[in-house]
Amino acid sequence: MTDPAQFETFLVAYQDMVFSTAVRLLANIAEAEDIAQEVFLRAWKHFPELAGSATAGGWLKTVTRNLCLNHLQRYRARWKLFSELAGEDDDGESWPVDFAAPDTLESTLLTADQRELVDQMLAKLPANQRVALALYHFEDMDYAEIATQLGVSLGKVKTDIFRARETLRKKLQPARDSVGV
Amino acid sequence: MKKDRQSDDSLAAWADQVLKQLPPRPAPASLAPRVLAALARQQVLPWYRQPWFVWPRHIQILAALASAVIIGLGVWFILPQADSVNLVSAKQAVSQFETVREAHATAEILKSLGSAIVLVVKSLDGWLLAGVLAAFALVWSTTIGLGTACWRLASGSR
Repeated sequence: MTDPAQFETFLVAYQDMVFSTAVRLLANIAEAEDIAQEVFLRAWKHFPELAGSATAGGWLKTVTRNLCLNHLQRYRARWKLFSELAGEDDDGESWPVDFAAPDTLESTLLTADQRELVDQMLAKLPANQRVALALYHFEDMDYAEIATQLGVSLGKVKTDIFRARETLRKKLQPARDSVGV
Repeated sequence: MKKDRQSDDSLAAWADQVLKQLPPRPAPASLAPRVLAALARQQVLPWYRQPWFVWPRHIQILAALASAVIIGLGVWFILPQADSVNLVSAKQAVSQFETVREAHATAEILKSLGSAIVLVVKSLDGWLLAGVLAAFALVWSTTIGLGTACWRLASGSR
């Protein structure tokens, strides 16, 4: 029999991880919260096996990712429509960020404000680029796995991820690029 | 070409370095209470009112066995008679069931009703028919609209 107090401790320990996985894939706080709730309801059913297990975090991440992808597939038509409407870039907006340029390959250590801005930028990427980028960098999936999961071609995944990185790079480059240095 | 490849790789490494520095996004304060409330609601329901996959394991097994026994018995009773089955005897056998007779009677009534509607429609002139159809469409769309509004009100008040 599952101990509710023990489950609450488990829930508090993992809720940030589950929520951030969901919100970085969905870019929608309300939907991410719904998915996180569903994940923990499923975790409750498996709690006797998960409690104290070293793989609990991995299990939660996998379930979160699958539920998010199912959610995105279910609303695929809407997702495609909006990602097309959103366009490739958001050039009208300026980001007051001062990062090391990626072409210098210097280590880029972010301040708290910059991290916040990167999160905001991720949320503004077109859905197809954001999902592919998040699966690659946060979920450590390779291109082929992402293509299979999303049901798209390998080439499309590579292009989407490349464009997403390029968008991030452009947004995060310091002002010196604009003066041609 | 090689330079492009190196440039892609360094961009990937840079993106990885930047993204991996992002801390987990804090979950909304409402998440934990929501989950606990949903669990409390689930606990109130007896197991047989919940979906099959959350039933206790031994009851799931018993239910699966009971289903298998019922299906097996059904097959066991039906199969020996299969040799003597032909179309006429099958029809006679089926017609003995009360439900089938009732379904047949219902079908006959619907058929008569359909013929009556066709006769009425044929006797109406074009404009009257268009008016009746428009009125029907109006009533139908009002019903759908009201239903949607009620649903939105009900789901919005959750």
